[in-house]
Amino acid sequence: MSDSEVAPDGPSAAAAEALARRAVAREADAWAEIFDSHYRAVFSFVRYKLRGVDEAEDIASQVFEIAYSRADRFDYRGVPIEGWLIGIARNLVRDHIKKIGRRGYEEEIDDTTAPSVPDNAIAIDLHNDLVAAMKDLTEDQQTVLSLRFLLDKSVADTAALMARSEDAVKNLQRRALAAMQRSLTGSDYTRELSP
Amino acid sequence: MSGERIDELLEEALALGEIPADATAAERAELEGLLGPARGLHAATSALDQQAHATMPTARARFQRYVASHQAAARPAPRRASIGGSRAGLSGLFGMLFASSLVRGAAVVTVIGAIALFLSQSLTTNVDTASAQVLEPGSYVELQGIVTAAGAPHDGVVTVRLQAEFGEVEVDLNADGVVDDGGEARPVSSLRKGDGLVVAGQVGADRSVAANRLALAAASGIKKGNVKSLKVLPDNFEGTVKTVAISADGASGLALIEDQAGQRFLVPVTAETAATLLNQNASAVGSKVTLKTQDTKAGSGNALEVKGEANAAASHPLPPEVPAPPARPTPTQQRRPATPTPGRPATPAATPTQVPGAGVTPAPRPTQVVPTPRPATPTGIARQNTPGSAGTPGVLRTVTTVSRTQVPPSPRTITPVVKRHEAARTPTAR
Repeated sequence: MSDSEVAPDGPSAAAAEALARRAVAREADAWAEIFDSHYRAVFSFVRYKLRGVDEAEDIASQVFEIAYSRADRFDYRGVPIEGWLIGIARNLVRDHIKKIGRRGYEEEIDDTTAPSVPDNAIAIDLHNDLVAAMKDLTEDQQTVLSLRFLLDKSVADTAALMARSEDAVKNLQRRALAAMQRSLTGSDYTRELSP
Repeated sequence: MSGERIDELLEEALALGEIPADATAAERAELEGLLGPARGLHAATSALDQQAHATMPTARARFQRYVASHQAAARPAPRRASIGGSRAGLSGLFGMLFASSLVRGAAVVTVIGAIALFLSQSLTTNVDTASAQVLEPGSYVELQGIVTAAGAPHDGVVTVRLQAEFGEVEVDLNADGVVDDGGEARPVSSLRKGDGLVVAGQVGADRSVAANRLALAAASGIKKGNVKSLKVLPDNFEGTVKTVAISADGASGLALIEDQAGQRFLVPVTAETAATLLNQNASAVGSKVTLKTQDTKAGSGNALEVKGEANAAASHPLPPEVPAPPARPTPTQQRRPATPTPGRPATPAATPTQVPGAGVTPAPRPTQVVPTPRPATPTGIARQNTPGSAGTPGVLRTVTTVSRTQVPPSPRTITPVVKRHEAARTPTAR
């Protein structure tokens, strides 16, 4: 969903509402459209919180399955579809990390920093130090950075999706970046990225 | 230096891509520290896009399966009528119990009623779940069933409803076909309630089967009711195959197996062994098998090892494929109505047409319906070294020339079915 759909008005609002109505009625075509429009955002949102591509794909898939199963409870007049999906993703990740915590969180972090075979196979480097630094943040900090920088949401959209004020989002963003900077201190990461 | 001031400067820096000129030296130093991780996250989005792009097809297929199974479970399908019969039977049984329990007090009645409700719902749920798992849209399935209703030919297709082991299923048959009934060629349109059939074909979006293999079989031995999932493979698990399926992508198989105690289980099996079973001359249904754990490229899985043939369905070889009615479209195909529009099975025409494409051969012979991003298309395997077995990908070409000859009934083996698809034998010769 584009940014305009976060605070929809005009024709896009009507289209978004029509799609949401069809989604509530569990029309397969509507859900196919929703999946194609939002999979990338949901995947990106969960990817940095999890240790690998497969895990992120699994959680992202579950997000759509849960959304579909709860379609009749979706109030499309108040929440954009993407916000709803992100909310489900956030809860799923939280539950997933709790389960990991019971098994041993440190072990998971170690696994995360080791590049997985599929990652190498498709030549993707997700900057493992960034992944590790993200994991040191609070859940809200992770969310604000994911929305702002991975999903490229504006402050206003992020505020709407997180049900916070814009000032609160800016403050949270600054604290999150500062915490990441502290985590990354000692590496030459910031020098590498500086122009 | 206030937090609000830094917040505003940070926003400006993120928007402009550079630190605002009015920032003090101290502010500049703090902003540089904050912008490093922000740039790193921005830079990672392309990698995330690649990962999202790479995983999307698998995730989409999974979601489509989920939606299809949900819709099938929610659909008031005709098979619920027969399931309702099962409920009625249970209701009758428990009605008797109910009557006798009146004497013993209201509390007992309540308990029995609750148990009746629980049991009937439990049976229904299990059957629906098994049906949804076996009849996955796009997959290729072989099953045995008894005709419970048969429709008149319409638009070249005869639709029959079968009571299979896992529930009821609608099967589309080529109306031009015949079955061999004790040496006598019998039109498909003559099939009636009570006839036993083994059919194989592709599952459509609405979980009907477009049959391309068909044989008469024993009209008995079909059980209704509880089908369990086999979660842990016991040692030396042996049984008789009642249904076997291979997924649309050819990556996984599923078998419904009855063990020696008469219990029926749905078991995920390796695609390779499911394909081997489907490729054998006799029907897969009725084969006696042993299940063993086997290491595959995708990890370990349950391998079906054929031990022999058990019942009448297996002893009658399934005939070569016949032109199947077009499978009812899969959800993907419904979303993307591509050309060519699926029509009747291959019709007589001139020369084969080379069509670039890729897909998975769900039929056990090289020439048959192949699900691709286009609608299911009768095809021949153009590359000679492409194995033409179920579940294997191949390079395809459309065979547009088809001549049909009837298979003469064999006096020795009751070879039921239909008309032979000549292109099945020599698809590249035309």
